Amino acid sequence: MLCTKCGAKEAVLHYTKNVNGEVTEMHLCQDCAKEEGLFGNLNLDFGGLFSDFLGSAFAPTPIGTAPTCPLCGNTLQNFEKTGRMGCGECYNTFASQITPVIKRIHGSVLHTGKLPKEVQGEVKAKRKIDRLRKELKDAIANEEFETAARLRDEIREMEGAQ
Amino acid sequence: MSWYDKVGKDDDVVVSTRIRLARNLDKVPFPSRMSREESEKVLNEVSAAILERNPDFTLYKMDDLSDLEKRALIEEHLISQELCDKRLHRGVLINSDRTVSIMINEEDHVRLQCILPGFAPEEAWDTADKMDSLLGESLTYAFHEKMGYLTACPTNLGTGMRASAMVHLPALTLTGSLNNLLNSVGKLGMTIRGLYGEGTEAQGNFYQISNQRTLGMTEEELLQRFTSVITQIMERERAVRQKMAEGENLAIADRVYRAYGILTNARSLSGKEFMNLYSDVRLGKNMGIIKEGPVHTSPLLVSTQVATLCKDAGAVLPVDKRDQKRAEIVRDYFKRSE
Repeated sequence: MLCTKCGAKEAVLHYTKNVNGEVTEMHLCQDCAKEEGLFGNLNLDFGGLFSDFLGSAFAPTPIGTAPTCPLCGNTLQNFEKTGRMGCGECYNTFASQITPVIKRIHGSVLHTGKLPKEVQGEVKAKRKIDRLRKELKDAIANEEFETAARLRDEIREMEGAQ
Repeated sequence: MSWYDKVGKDDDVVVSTRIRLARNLDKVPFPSRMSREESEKVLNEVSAAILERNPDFTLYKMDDLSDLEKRALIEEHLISQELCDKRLHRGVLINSDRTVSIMINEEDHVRLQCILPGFAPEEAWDTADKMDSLLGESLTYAFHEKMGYLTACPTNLGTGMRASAMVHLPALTLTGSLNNLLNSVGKLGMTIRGLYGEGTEAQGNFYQISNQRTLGMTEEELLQRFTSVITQIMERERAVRQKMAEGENLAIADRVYRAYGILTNARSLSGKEFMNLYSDVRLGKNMGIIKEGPVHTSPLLVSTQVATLCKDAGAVLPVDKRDQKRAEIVRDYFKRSE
C-alpha cells in the first residue's frame, strides 16, 4: 500500500497508535518515517524507553499543574529524561504514571519477598489473610463447607486483630 | 586472600557468583537528587551501622582513594565505575575476606554485594541476607508494601536483588552455539553481558549472566530460577567440551598447548592477548589436556588487569612496561607447582 503521508512511495512502516481508545493508523514509506523520527529508533536505553512509553500514555499536562515530588522536587519530565526516580516519595507522587511501567518491566506490581523489620508484622499478617481467602474460595468451590467455615472464622479473627 | 584465591564448586564453568541487593534509606532523596550534606549523613549512618557491629569491615571513602586504587577495586569486582564519579560523599565497606562489599551512594544509597568463587548462589544469598538484616536493624529502609524495596531505577524494585554468575564458555563459543544460548537465556528472563557488566564487552569467552526481573517473586524463587538457568548452561558447555574431547582431538590439544607455551614464555603480553590465550589454557586445564602448572588459575583474571598490576609494580606504568609486567606475572604464576 502507498504511504499515507506523501502518497508516492510504498509504505514500509505500519504504525497504530491507541491513546485511551482513540486509534490512529499511519502507513509510512522509509523517507517519511525517518522524517517523523520513527524509523531506526531502536535505542534501548531505559530513559528513552520510559519517555516513549509515557509520552503516549497520557496527554501533556499544562505547565503549573504538573506534579512535583514534595520530598525531592523531582518532576515527571525529569523521570522521563533519566529513567530514575528521585526518592521513595516519588513512587507515591507519580504512582499512576509509574505503575504501568513497572508492570511492563516485571510483569507484576506486587512484592512477595523479604520485608524490612518495621513492616514485617503487619505485612506478614496481610499476606496470610490473602492466602486464607484464597483457600476459602477453593474450599467453597470443592464444597468442603466445614473447612470453609473454619477458614472464615480464622480470617475474621485475624482481621479483628489488625 | 580474596574471593578469587579460593577454589569454588563448578569452577570449570562458573568463575564466580554474585548476589547484590539494592536498598535506600527512608525519607532521604536518592543519590541523583541528594545534597552533599545529605550524602555525608548517609555515608556516616550506613558505615556506623556496619562498623559498630562488625569490626571485620573497613570503610574506603572514594575521595581518599587514588584513581589507581579505585580502578583496582573495579578490577576486583568489588565496586562499579559509577561509584567513582566525583559528586557526593561516596564510599565502600569491604570485609577482610574481600567477599562482601557495601557501596554507599552509588545509584542507590546502599548496594550490598556478596561475591564467592565458583557456583555458590545459596551461600552468597545467605551472607547478603544476613548483612541486609544487620543494616536493617539500625536503619529504616524506603519500602512500599506493593512495590517492595524502593530503588532509583524501577528495574531494581521489589527484592532489589540481582543474582549474577561469571561464566567461561569457550566450547559453546568455539562451536558457534553461543547465539542460540543468548536467545534461550533471554527467553528465560536473564541477560548476558561482558565481564564487567553493563556496557562492557565479552573477553576471553567470559560472560556475566544475571536475572532481569526483581519484583513479583520471593528471593528464594528468584534464586531457584537463576540456579536452574546456570545449571543448564553449565551442562551445555560441559557436553560440548566432552564432544570436543572425543577421539583424541589433536586440533584442540595443539591449540591449548600453544597458548600455554606463549603464556609461560612470553616477555610481553597485551591485556587482550592474555585473555584470549588464558581462555584456551583454562579450557585445556578443565578438559584435562594440560596437566602442568597450578590447577587454580582464577587469580590471574585480576592480577593481570591494568590498575592491579600497576599497584603491584608500585607505579603508574606506560603500556609497554605494563605488557612486560603482565607477562612476568603470568610466567611466575605458572611456575607454581600446586
